[in-house]
Amino acid sequence: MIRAIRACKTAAEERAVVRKECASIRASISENDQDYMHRNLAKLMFIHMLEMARDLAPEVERLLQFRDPNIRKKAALCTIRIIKKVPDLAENFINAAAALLKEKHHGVLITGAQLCTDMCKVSTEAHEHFRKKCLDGVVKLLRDLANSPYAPEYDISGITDPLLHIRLLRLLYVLGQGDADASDTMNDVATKTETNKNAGNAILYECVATIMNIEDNGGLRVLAVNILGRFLSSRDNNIRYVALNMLMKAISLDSQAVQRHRATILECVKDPDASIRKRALELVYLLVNESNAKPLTKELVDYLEVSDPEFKGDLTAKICSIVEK
Amino acid sequence: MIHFVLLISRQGKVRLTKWYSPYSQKERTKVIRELSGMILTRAPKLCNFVEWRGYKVVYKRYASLYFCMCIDQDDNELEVLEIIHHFVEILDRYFGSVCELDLIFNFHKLPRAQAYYILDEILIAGELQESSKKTVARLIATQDSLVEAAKEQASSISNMIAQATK
Repeated sequence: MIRAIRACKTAAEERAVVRKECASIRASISENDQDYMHRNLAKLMFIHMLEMARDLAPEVERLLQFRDPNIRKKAALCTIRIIKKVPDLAENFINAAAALLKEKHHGVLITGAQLCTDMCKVSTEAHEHFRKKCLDGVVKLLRDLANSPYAPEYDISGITDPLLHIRLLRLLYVLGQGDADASDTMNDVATKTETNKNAGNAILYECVATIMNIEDNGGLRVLAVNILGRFLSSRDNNIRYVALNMLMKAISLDSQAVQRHRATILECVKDPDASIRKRALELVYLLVNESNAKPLTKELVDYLEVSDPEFKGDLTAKICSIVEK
Repeated sequence: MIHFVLLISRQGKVRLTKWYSPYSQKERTKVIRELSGMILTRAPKLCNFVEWRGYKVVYKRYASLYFCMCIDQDDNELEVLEIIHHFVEILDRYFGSVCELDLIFNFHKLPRAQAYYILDEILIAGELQESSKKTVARLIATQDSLVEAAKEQASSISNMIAQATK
């Protein structure tokens, strides 16, 4: 199909080809043609890129309730593309999307959670609806998942489906503002998750992000900053990088807590790894205030003498702007 | 969301590309050139993330292949590492033990196409769609049998034609 579209010389010709494709997709959807369903959905996505979304939206909506879970998950992702393109269509999909969150199949759950998250971003109405109707369900799902016994099919280094964990946490990130149940569950997840493997750390990282966003009082916040502190002293470079990244977000909420880690962050500015260096430098820049400006600048200027030639430019620029502040 | 997936060999040869956001042909070659320059020169043991044009590229090396995925600034990098690993494990199961050659030329099957099909079952439109290895394996197996059936049908038809024209 793509070849056919590419071959078209004029816009009108192209439109004709696309319209014909739409018609045939529509026909095969109504015929319930199993084998080619997957391929047709892929075609649908391509057509959405060509901005024909509006025409086929009702078909996709029907597919969201289709019998085969593999079709449902693809339809959900297809819907994401549609609502990104045409945000006002989001309202039509609210109920179907909410239904996806009640499924058992992990693939459908993952895509459903993703769809709901994206819908909340484009439509306040969807946000309201999900907050009222689905929040409990999501929290329960997360709790069940966190406490679930060993499941070989979804297991990654001892944790059941970390990828689904993360999707659900991300949905809570938009929905869970000030919900006690959600906080409880996150507390569970944050304390119980194993930290010696990447999968566990990925969950913790997402959990911290969510806590930072939805929690406005004490306990959990402290827990989150502590986790970040532990990340920061980790020997794994990846973990240090994400910790620095998250501390940048945390600084606007609780700068005192971040200041405590100042020494470690300064160490990171001198790291051999360019990515970490860059993150750390930006963080230091945010950390500077009247009381600590002098020692921090001195430290940076000292380091300037021994640093990499490539890094010198960035470093000097930042020192200059600190001095201006 | 994931913007694109690249597989680059240690010599800088591109083995697989998949684009989830629109890029023109020219931009694509430029992107590949820039990224392979950046990633291949990084020493081992550094962190697996590179910042690039306001996006982040997460990469991981398996044997002689670099798996790279480009994501948004506020996505979870550790999760993407997990997705890459998930993809590799599925490839591994499918090909027995995966090596670069499997991706360049897979002997009894269509060259390279298989890796794309597997990727399609894991990621669509830049989003993750399946976290179960078994499900992916099953879907790929169904597709393979469909292809086989279609081949048989085609050969039987050509046999019939041959016999009829004898």
